[in-house]
Amino acid sequence: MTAATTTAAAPATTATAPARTPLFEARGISKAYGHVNALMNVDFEVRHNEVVGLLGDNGAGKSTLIKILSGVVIPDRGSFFRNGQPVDISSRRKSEQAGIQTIYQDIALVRSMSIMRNIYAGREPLGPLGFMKMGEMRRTAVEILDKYVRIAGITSPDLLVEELSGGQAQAVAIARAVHFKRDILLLDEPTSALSVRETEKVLAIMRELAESGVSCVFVTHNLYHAFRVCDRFTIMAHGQNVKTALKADTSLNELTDIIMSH
Amino acid sequence: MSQISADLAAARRVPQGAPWLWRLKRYQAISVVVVYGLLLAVCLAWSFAAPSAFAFATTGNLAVLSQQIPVTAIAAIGVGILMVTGEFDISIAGTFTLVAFIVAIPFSEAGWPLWLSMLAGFGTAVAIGVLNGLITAWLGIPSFIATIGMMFFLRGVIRFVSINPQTNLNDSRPFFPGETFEAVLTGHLFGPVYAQLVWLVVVAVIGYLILNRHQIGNHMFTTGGNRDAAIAVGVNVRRVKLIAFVICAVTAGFAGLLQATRINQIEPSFATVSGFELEAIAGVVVGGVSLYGGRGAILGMVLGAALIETVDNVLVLIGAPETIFKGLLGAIVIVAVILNNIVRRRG
Repeated sequence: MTAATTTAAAPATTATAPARTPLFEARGISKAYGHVNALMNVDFEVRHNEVVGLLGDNGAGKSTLIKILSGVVIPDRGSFFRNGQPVDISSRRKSEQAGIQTIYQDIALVRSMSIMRNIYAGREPLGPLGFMKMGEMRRTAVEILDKYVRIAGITSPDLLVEELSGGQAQAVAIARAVHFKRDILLLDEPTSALSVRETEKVLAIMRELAESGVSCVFVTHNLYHAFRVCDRFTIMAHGQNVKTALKADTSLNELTDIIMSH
Repeated sequence: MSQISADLAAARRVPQGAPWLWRLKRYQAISVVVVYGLLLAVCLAWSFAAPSAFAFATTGNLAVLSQQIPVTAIAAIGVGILMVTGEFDISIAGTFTLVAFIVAIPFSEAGWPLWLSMLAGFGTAVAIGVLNGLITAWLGIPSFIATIGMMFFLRGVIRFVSINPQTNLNDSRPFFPGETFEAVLTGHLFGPVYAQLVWLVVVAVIGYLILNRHQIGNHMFTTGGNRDAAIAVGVNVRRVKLIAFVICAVTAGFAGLLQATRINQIEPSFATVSGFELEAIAGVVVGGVSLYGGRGAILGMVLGAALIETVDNVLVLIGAPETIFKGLLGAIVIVAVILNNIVRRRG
């Protein structure tokens, strides 16, 4: 697959044209597993400073699309653009270089390790002979926690991840992604295993991030959560993008009806 | 402060009080520190109260401990570092014995200089570690199985190299590397303290720096704690495991060399009937290293091994049959594994 060879099909319903070039665009994405078409000519975009909901029932193609955007799965056809320029996201590393980070449902953190070590896992600041700059790691970890997610419940970067609640762990994963200059977060069912209070926190974090320049793709089955936090919605069914709409142009009932009717 | 932040602040988990106390309570090896401290206290008290019945706190007995504990503990550090990555090495008794043979035979019988013999010995250890790492990390064979295979292979090699040409039977080999070498590796320093204890401290400090201060240590904890997460953040888990296998083999080889230098001979039975590998693994497990990877502290590995050796020593002092030690060792390991599992479930 090359970066810019595709035929983009218009989505079933197009939202109001954006004022700026989208932060990220995926055009004409198709992916088949044998005879099963997981995605068929799907367009998807992420705009600046927004939370976009990626909605749909099981088997709609959301997970395949997220895996493609994460660089885990390579599509059969399609192209990708960042700020209008073609980008290659054919591997996890290339996807990250394009500013995309996926926060998975089961959270890619090491539960037996401290927050600080988790934040820097794989990206340790190094001094001579490969030794880690522990002081710098500690200082920066505190700053990251304070700056990006303001998790007052986390009082020490030495806490183990297993000592955190689900929401706090999500927040640490988000903080790590944001600190390492990812400005598109793909959040795959981030609230599915959380309590009401923790859910509120994660939703608030998404809004804060969007306002600070980090756009979020919120993949969820929970339309109530999506409607509360998202600026825009993309609904998928049977491997296709069946509707894209701004929040102002739709309603919770309409979103529910679209999903139910497919 | 937002409402969310205020809510979470109310639910903060870190207790107020002295930070050092908080850290101490959460230290991964705190259990073995307490247990070993209590064991030592009881032994010392008993020994002072009844010195004729229980000669634990004598210079001679403490000297024995200060020579035996470092051998097991140095091997345990390597085993523990490997277990942090989520892997095992059952073949360390073979490495322990073979490295000593590989150093001794060219030195004693072919006239090689000692440095060259040691290079050959530690080269063999590195090769064993690399082979274990390749089989496990690249071919995907569980390390338990792969290193059992290596254990039998090394036993075969040891049987071959230990054949006495005069009797055509497996036999021990003398090892007299010279006074200077012996003094550096196993010399008497003062009171009950021997050089092995200094080597243990050196290896423990290096192990600590690797595990807690070096990038590879962070990658080891990440690999053992959550392999998928490690891959997701770009950690080369195969390379990490291979390095851990090499460290494990090298520490086992060094421990073997210490033992051979101390007793001036190498016994092929070290690799077959001593159960050395199980003692080292037992010490590591008792020291709080997780069987599932991702958890472990160097101090725990050292004190776990020390506890095993001290229990052995106590049983000898009270005249218990040797078979009791094996049974007790098994019981200690089972209890440690149960506790290990409880900690994991709570985690």
